[in-house]
Amino acid sequence: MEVNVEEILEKLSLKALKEVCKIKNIQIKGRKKAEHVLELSTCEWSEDELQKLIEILKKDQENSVRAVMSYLFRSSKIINLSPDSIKSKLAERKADLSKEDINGFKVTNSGSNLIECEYWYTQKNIVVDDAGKLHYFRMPSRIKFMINPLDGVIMVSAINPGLALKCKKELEDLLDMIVIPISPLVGGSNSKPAANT
Amino acid sequence: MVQIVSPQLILRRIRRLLRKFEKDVGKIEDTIAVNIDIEGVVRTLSLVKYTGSGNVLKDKDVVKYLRQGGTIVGIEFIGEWRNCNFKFKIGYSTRIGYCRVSRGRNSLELTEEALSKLREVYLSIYG
Repeated sequence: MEVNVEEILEKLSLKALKEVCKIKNIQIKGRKKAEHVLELSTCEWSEDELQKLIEILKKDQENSVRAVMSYLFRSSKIINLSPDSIKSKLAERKADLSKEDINGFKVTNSGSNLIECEYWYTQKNIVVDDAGKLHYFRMPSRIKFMINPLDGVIMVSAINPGLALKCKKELEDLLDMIVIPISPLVGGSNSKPAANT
Repeated sequence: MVQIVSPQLILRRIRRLLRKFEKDVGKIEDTIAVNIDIEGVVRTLSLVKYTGSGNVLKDKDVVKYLRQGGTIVGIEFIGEWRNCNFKFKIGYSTRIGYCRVSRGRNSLELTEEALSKLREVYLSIYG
């Protein structure tokens, strides 16, 4: 079986990549996924190690569907836009499922307070079947998100932060605005250096 | 330039978040992990000594790291929603803020409801 190790590594979560490091008996100091992928993709892989890698991929994919996640962002500019103008902006870059490059948005529902949307893109996917065999294919994928125009909150449902940031970036490009994460670590009038405990 | 909120403020907000969760969503059975960022390095205290029982904000290891200038950037706990236990997690950085609920053996619908409740609590404290 021909296995593209780099593609598999790119599909793994950071937690799973750390497990792979244990198999290869290497330590990577950085916390970034890209550093792990880069380092591990230069290794030589035995048949036994590849089987273990595929097992980790399978377990990681199972684990990822066992959790639901919401990434929370805000943009003050959204508050100044009407729901209709947000929808017409989203329609300007509409996802076209008939094309190979489907990148774009789709408004699925818009109630009085929330605009429910999807961001569509093409994803290279790997699936491990029950026999442990890998299948590679390109498939249309979507990231669901909701916009609340009243408070400028954007809620992205994605399985990993990379996808949430991809959706955020596309929205920033489309609406020509800055979107910031809702976290207590940025801004705030009580801000001061973290060292003063 | 990125501004950093004081650890005291974050601690206060985490206390408020946990209290609000217990009031609005359900009982917190256990706090199982906390991540603390010290000088740009995130340490999961569950991997150090923190055992996951008792009040995480009073735990001596947590306090030790906070005194070194650390800031809590994530917390994971087992909480109740509609008489089912879920693993809830919140985390944040300068790039991202998120809520996560692990399903376990619960249905997807119930998990999504639980996530929606956690999101409400998160937005009411940090939003």
